[in-house]
Amino acid sequence: MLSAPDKCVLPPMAPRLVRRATATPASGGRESATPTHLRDVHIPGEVGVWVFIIGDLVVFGMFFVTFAVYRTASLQLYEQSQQAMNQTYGLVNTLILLTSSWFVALAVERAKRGANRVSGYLLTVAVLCGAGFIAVKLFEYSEKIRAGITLNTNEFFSFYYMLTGIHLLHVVIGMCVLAYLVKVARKRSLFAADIKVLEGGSAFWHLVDILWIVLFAMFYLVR
Amino acid sequence: MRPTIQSRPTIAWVVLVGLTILSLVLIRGVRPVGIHGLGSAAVLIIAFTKARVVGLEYMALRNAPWPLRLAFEGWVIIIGTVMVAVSTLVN
Repeated sequence: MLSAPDKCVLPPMAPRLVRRATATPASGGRESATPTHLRDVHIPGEVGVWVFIIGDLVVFGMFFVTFAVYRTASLQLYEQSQQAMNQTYGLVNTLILLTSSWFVALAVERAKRGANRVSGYLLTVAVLCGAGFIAVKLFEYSEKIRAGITLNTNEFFSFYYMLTGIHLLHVVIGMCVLAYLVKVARKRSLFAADIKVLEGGSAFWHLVDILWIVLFAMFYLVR
Repeated sequence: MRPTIQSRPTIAWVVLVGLTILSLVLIRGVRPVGIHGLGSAAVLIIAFTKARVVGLEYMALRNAPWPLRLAFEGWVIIIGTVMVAVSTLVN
């Protein structure tokens, strides 16, 4: 049986195109006739996904500020506790998540261009990156617990276990989402709805990345 | 199709990894000089800059309608500014 080539069916509704005229110094700040740049304006994914993402950002934002304020009250305790943090684990996990986000972004780009199979492979690698993140995190937790550092050790480590634990839950959910996206990307033909699913699901994974970027700075770097 | 090496996601990844390394260098390099709060502020500014890059380039918010982009950029600016202000004041 002949297999149909990968193809991408474009959205039935053309995205709103915004003509962005460029002003150059040579034209004295006036809009030049050429070149013009066409930019398609659209919500990446479903609106509901973005309601959840923005809500999650707000909640984590409040956690971040709460941590910063509490830190001001017990600066010495926080600085002493941070000495027990291994920056190498934080750095490795940051690089893992940044790389996974890169693969996911490339996967969506490829899927939009009809390279479904490549997109599926890239998303699979991103899922493996997520597994790598979890492995490093669990190793770090076990090392801390063996050293007698637990949730109840002090305020700093209560924040550390609570926030990185909630983030770890996001990573697990994100991996499930990515696994579903692999299934979507492996379809023979991708329709507009499939592209929306890919965009929305990938946005959630990038949220996981954004939250870790700030957590890494807060717990491992700020001294 | 542009080769992967020249695509925006790849350029963004290089920028993000570069900023990560820069933040490590800063926090290790600035500390002995004694300008303690400056290092923390720089690290947080870099972190929120990285968050913005992920949002605009990977989440495709660069091409999102303005209310959505405003919500995200507002989060970056407000939370980033408060974090930097609090950590700088205490130091």
